[in-house]
Amino acid sequence: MAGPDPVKQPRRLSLRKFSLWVSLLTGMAMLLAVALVTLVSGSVIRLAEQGGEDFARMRIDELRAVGNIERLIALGDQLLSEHDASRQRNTAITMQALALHPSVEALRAADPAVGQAFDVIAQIVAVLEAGQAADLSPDQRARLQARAMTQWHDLRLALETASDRSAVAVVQAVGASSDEISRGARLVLWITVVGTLLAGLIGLVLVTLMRRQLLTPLVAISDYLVGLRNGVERDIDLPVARSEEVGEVIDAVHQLAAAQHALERAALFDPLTELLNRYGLEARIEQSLSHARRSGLRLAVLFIDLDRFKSVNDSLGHASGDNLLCVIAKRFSSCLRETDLVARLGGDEFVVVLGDLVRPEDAVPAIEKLLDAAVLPVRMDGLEIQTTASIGVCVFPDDGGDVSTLMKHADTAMYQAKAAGRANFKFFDIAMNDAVSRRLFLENALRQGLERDEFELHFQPQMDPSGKRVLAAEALVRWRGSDGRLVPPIEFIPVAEESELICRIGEWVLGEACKCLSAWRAGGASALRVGVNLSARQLRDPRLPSLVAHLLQLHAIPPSALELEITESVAMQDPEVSIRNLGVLKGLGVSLAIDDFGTGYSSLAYLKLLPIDRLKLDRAFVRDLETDPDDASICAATVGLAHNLRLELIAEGVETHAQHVFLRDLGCDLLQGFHFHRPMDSAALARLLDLQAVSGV
Amino acid sequence: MTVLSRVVLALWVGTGACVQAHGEDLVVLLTPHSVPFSYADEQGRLTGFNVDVANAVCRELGRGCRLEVRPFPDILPAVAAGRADLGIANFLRTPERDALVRFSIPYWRSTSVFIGRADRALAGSSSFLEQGQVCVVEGSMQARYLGAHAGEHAANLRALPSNQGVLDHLHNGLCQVALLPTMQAFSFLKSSQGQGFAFVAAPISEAGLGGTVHMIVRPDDPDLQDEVDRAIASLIRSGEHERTARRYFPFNIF
Repeated sequence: MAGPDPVKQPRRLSLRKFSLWVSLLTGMAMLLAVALVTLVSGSVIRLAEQGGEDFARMRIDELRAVGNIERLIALGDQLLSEHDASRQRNTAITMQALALHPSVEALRAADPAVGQAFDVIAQIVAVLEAGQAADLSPDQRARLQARAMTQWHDLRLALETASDRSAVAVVQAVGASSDEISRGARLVLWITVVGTLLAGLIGLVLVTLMRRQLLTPLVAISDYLVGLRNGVERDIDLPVARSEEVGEVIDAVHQLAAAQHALERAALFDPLTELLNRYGLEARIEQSLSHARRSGLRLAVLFIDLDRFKSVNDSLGHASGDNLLCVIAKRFSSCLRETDLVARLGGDEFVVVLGDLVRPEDAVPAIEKLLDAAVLPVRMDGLEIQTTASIGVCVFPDDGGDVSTLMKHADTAMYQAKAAGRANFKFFDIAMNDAVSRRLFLENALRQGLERDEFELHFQPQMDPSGKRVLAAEALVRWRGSDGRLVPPIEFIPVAEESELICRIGEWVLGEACKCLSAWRAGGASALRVGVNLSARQLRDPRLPSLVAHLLQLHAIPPSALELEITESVAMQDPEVSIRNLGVLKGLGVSLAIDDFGTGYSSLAYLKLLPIDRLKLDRAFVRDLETDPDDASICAATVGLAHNLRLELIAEGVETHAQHVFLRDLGCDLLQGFHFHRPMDSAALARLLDLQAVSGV
Repeated sequence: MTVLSRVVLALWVGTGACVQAHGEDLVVLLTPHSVPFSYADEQGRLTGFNVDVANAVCRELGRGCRLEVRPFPDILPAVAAGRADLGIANFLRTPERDALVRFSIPYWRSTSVFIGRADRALAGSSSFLEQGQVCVVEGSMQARYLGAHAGEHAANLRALPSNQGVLDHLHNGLCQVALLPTMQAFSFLKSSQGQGFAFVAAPISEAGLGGTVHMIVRPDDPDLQDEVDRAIASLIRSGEHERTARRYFPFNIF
């Protein structure tokens, strides 16, 4: 898992402290900015207001002064051009009053000549009054007039200068005031722009920091968690934490992922082989199916069973069996692509899923590799063990559209592969499925039949050569199903033989036969013998001898009164084992017979070694002996063979008088068939035996 | 009673009180014989620059004006005692007066000047007191100024209750010289009674004899002072003040 290396962790920032500082600094910066802008704006506004107020007052004073001076000049011009004494006086008084006014007086400081206006006007008036005296000559009058004009001219010049200066001052003041207001406005603008840029910069820094410290790590953690949920988090790295709190989250996610992996391994993987277990397979196979559905390609489910693994376990112990499984598991894994799945369901059962197949046969190379991998010898504790595998193959979507159907069909195919001789593979076909379904149905019904006691035992008598006396009887199992119908043995015995059910049925038959035999013997048929068929599985069952001994003892039956029959093919399947196991049974004193003799491949060398008492000639030879001279010859030869080996011969399937006569004349020791009696229930046989005892045959 | 209803009640009571206050006439005191500021015309109606300004202020305040005339020396004490709301009699501002009444913002500017017979040579204030009787309005800044400078000639200083009294004395020769506000002196000189008289000395603007002229407001009503200030400012801004002054003076007196 990708995660931060604890040694190289960078210094982490505390987001709590960071956010506190950011809030504090932002708040302070905002307060500062607001205070600064308020201060500057306030001072500018105050400046503008105050300036405006002062400006208006001062300007209006100056304008009034200018107006009054211009009025004074006009009055002066009027005074000099006036000839009426009374009007001159009025004008002069007005001029003097005007010269006294504070608006004109205020200009005295700037121009002293203006301050002397009152006195100069008084002097001009005095000169003008003097000029109006009646005793003056025209020259004197003209000189006085000229003097008055000169005085007025000087004053007028001073007044004009003061007026112009005041007007210019107003203009300059207006300009200066505008400049000042503009400067203030520019200052506010600059502060606002700089403040906004600063705020934007701070915001950018904060966003960048937040993105780097919080957002980016959170998005990466989210991606990682999504990956973790989808099971692909190995392709995504956890981010490097730069803050304490995000670091805590990353550490927690790290631990969560580790815990999830541990749980996943425990729940989904087989601890022995480290392959997927049943649950792991179910979890992953759905993904593979989804992929196949999307891509439109095929997918093969392989059900693999190791042949005779049980014998390895039994003979070498479970530890060796486990070692073998591990070796095989590794080999299987190495045969496959990374996208394929391999799982161990338990025991010696494996499942392989091959994806991305265009045609079903594209799976064959991989299957052959798996078969080769299984067959390679394994060295263990100095021994070389060789095993094989049987593989059932089922293809999606041809043979099934869902996991359970595919698994069931692959299992069916695997059984077929085993039935076909092991160490090979079979593709599933639908007929195979019907047979298996029927087999499974029967197997289930048989199991229920045993529990419900639906089995019955019938007996077919074996007669002496005369055909009149019952010497023995063969026990034949019958199954009356829940619907009341008798199921033929040919239907259910093969199914039972493929499972452990045959052992349970066999045990029941043995017990029931012993019980009946015991009753008949108690009823007077003291020489009667009952034959019971054994299956191959029963013969190999190590518990059989002790069971037989127990039943003989339980029902107080002399051992020789119980005859155990095995078919020729079972006896010759593994003659050495048969010889050994039959020897053990013979040791109990029971009678032994080879059934269906003549149909298999009996080795006479072995035959002589088998501790048997009788041969049962197969009904096939009896059926046609009247018409087929070869069959008659075989019958005669078999009787000779038996007798030469000091064995008795029982002929089965005697259905006609001619067959009876022929076999009797050949020297058969016992005869069995419809010609004498059909199989019957125990009560019927009891009655037959009673009748025989009464008639004294 | 809820907070809201208390607020509503307070507003109603407050509004009612305002209406009541605004509904009362303002008592305005003026001088009776100060041409061209306040005087009775041929029909005996009170008229003049100060009368027009008083009416304009009352209009601005939305209140009626009850104009009453008093001798100049009685006006300030009456306003200071709260017997009148406003005094409009060309008051110059001094610290002593400030302690007694409230002053409005200025509404014109004044100086003081000596007037006398036209044949009198121009001279200083002390020499006038040496040479004969000098008349002033009682309680005026001019009376106070000359009183401070009279020295041994204090007996020559005559303080009379009204402006008209001063001018009558001057006309009748009971005073050789009078010290008056320039605009009152100017008005006298231009009248028929003032023929033969003239400004007889250089103007005196120092020592509080010149400067801004204010209305006086009763001291116990700061709100009234604010309202009067706002009214005067409004009259100045609207140009009405200027138009009123033009009716009485040949030039701008502010």
